[in-house]
Amino acid sequence: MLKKLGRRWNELRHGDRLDREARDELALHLELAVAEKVRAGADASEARRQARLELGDEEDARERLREARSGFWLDSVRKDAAYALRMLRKRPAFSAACVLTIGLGVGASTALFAVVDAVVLRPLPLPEPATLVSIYDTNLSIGVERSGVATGNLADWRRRAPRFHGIAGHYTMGRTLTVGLESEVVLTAQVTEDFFPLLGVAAALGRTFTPEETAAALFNPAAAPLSPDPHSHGRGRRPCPFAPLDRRPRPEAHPGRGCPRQRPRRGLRAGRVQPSLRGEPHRSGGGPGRGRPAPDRSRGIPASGLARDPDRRRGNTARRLTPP
Amino acid sequence: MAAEKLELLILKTLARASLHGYGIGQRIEQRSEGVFRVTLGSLYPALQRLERDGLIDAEWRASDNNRRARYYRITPAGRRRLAAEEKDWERVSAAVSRILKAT
Repeated sequence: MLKKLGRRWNELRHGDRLDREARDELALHLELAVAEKVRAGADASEARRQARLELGDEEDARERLREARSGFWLDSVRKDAAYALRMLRKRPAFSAACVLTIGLGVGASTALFAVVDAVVLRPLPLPEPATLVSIYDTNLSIGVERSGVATGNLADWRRRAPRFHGIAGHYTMGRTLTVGLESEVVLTAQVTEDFFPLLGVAAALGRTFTPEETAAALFNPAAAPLSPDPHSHGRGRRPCPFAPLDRRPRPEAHPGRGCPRQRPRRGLRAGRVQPSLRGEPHRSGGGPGRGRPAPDRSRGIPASGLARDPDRRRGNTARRLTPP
Repeated sequence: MAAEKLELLILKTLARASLHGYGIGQRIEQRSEGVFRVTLGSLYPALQRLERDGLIDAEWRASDNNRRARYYRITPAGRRRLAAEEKDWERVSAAVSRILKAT
C-alpha cells in the first residue's frame, strides 16, 4: 500500500521526467522495430512506415500514458491556466468581454436559482406547510377571478367551512412610519388574531393579541391587529408600531406596496408583534385625520384568506371559495 | 485483446526473463505465432498499470546493443498474481472449450 502511494506520489512529482522517459522508451521501441525490418531487407523509410503501421502512433501511446498517470488532471489544469493567462495578456479587451459575459451569466443564473429555490423548491418554514392554502374571493359575473375577501365573507367562511382547521385573514399594505423628522414607508401586515396560532408559530418578539384584547378593541373579523412585515424595506431597521384597529380614519395607504398576497410568506412568522393598549395613538403615518380615510371596515377590507386544510399534503395551490 | 489478458501475457513473458518493452512485444508475438501483435498504445499503458500495482518493477540499463533501455521484471507479488490468473484462465478456457465442443 505504501509502495503504491509512493509510486503515485512519484508520478505526481516527476511528471515531466516520466514523460521524457516514456518518449525515449517509445522511440527506442520504434527504432528497434525499424532496425529489425531493415535487417530483414526493407528500405529504411519503408521499414519505418511499416513499423508505424504495426505498432500504432507513438504520440497516441504517450498521451495514453500521460492520462493514466496520477495528477494528470492537475497538470492539465495548470497548463490550461497558464495558456489562459497568456491569452489574457495578449488580447485584454476580448478577455474582459468574455469575463464580463461569463460573470453576468453566472450572476443571472444564481439569482434565478435563488428565487426558484426560495419560492418553489424550499418548503415554507412552518409546521405542515403542505396543509396551508390561500383562499380568495371571486366574482365571475364582473370578470374578477381573484379578489380580496370581504369581512363578512371571511366570517361566513369560518362558520361554514368546518373541514378547515381554521381560516385567518391577512392584509398587507405600505404605511408611512414617522419617527421624529424621519419618515419611511414600511410594509406592514394586518392579521386576524388566529393568524399565528393557525400557522403554528410564535411571535419573534413579544406576544400576539389575545382574543380578549381583540374583542376589547372592537375587533371585527377582517380588521385585525397590525404587525410589521419583515419583508418590507425597513426590515431590521426598526419595528413598526401598531395598534388594534378601530374605525378611525387610517393613515395613508400605499396600494402599490399593499396588494393582498395570495400565499403566505415565511417572513410572516417573524412579525414583531407587541400588544398595545386600546386607544394608544397609532404613530404610523400622519395619524388620525391625515391622509385618505380607510375603507369602511364594517363592510370589509380586501384581506386574503389563509387556511389549514388537513386533507392536503402536497403543493400550495390557491383554493377558491364561493362566497355564501 | 482485453487489457486483463494482455497483462497476464506480459506477466508470463516476464516470468522467464526481464525484458524491455520491445522485447516483451516481440516475445508475445513469437509465442503466439503472430496471432497477437501488441501496439505501443496497449503495451505501455499495461506495463504502467502493472508497475503501479507492484506486479512488475522497472529499471533503466544498457541493452544488448548498448542502448539505454527500460527493463521490466516480475515481482513476487506479480508471480503470485500470475499463478492465480493462470489457474483462472485454465478453468475458464476449459469451460469455453467444453461448451464449444458440445455445440
